[in-house]
Amino acid sequence: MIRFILSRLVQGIIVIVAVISITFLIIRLGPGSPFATGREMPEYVRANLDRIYGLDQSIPVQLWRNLKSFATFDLPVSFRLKGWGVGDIIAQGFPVSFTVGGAAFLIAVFIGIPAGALSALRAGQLRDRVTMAAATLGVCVPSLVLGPVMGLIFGLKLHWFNAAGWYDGDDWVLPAMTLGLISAAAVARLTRGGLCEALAADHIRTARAKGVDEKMVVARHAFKLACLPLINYLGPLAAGLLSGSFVTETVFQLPGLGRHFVNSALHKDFTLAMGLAGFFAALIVIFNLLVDILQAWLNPRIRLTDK
Amino acid sequence: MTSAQTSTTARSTGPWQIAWQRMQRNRAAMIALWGVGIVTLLCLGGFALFHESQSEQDMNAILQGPGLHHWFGTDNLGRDIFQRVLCGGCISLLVGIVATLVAMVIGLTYGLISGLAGGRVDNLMMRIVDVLYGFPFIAFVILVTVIFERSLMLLFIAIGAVEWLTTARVVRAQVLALKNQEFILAARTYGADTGRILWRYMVPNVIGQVVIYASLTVPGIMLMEAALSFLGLGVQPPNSSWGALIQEGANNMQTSPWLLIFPGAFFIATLLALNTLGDALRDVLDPKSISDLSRLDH
Repeated sequence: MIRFILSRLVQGIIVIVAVISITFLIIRLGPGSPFATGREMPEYVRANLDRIYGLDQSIPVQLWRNLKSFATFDLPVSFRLKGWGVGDIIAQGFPVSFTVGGAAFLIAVFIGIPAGALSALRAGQLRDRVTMAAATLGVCVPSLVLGPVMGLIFGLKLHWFNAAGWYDGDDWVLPAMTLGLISAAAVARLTRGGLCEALAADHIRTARAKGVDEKMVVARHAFKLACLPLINYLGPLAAGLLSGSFVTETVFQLPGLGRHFVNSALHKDFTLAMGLAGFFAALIVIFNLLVDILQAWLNPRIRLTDK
Repeated sequence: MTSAQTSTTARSTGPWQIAWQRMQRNRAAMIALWGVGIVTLLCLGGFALFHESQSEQDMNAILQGPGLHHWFGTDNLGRDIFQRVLCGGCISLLVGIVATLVAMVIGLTYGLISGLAGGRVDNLMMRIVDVLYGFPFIAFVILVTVIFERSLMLLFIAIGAVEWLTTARVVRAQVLALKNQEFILAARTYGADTGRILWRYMVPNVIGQVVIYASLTVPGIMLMEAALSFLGLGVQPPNSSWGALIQEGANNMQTSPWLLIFPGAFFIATLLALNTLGDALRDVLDPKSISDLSRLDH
């Protein structure tokens, strides 16, 4: 177990270093410069700027220097947001993304799982069909449509919330609902599928034959089995939601990590882009590890080995 | 069973025909199939007819609501939304299909090589896939579309290059299962070389799985294209796509909701049909259920 976690952590660090390096290479080897402005820049000014920031060194040297500064947590500064370190920007943007993404995750879990479970228990009945029709529609509604519609109805028409921006304490509600409802639809479908399959399994028949109470059969035996595919989905979902959604943060003009990343790419702000991409990768690594541990805990057939 | 039915069953015993028969019994799938067909034809026809005139500005009808002359209304430049929705849809579908093909070709090739090579090579190749699952790929796609000159070709490759991982896994598992079966051994003893074994014996047996996964991938890829276009990083003017149109609509939705409603409705309906179709194909093409069905029918 310990060996498994250690080996996965080493693998995770390799992933993070690779992600940071690829981000750097895409931006630095592509056209454009972090100093580009609207007007023409005299050659000697550009050369001086490049020298000051060390951009005149060879690409491998620059990459090594940047990796070293990330590895020692001596984070570089952003090129576009003057006076901001990459760490400051993450520290400021992550709470926004975390609030919205965390709330969206809870909505997805607390609406999706009960809806899917009830559907599975009433499989074939009217309520199941209605719920699943709604869930199927839900997975097909993209956030770039639902987000603006939510903003229009609850922001511009009803004036319950701000249609965009991050000013008031309740500004997380609309973006979280947008992301949460869409994810809830997917979670409901997975829960129903998993639970239907689990209820047909042999050990459930055995439990029923033993005379175990039906509630216990569902809650203890079937649900545990149904959780396995669900957890596989929820782990990456949590990582994705917490790291901030590119589209939803743009729709609602939130100062979260997703929007910082898009802006950093647009301005060739490679230090910030590297930091954010590395942060996203770290979140994915952590949640994938959590998924593996949870899976092994729920299903004794899975043994964690560092093969 | 009537004699007509018996004769159909007797004539068509290949797995694809059986799949098609099963498909016809699934009402939702048939509606979805019709839906996808109609939308595709509409968009293709629309693109052929309007792809010049979609940029024409009607200065007498700026931001006009739906009406007899402009069925879906006009945008703030006086362009006809009906024409733009059809032309944009054509591009959205094109990206969805071509990028999926790119992903499937990469996944199929990778999976075939890994499965056939076996041993250490296979181990290493699958470990790489495991590691790649941990990559924030959407961030890379955004980076690439921001940094490099945006074109449809870049979209096909950038999106296609991130969606092949699951295909590779599925194909590799299938190849491992097939590799030691008698008919492959028989082909080898006849002197078939590796290329022929791959092409004549492996590919036909894994293609069903690839089709299932491809049909489930198309809507996801169309969503990714829409998100990129929404951020201004996808399809560039004068071309348009549903994502780009939805973005324009979202900016004007308070005064002119039709700019959001029509492209949004077309997009959602298409995704719904494609997803339903994908689910149905999975039920229908699953080799296990096919053999079950053939037992039932004969």
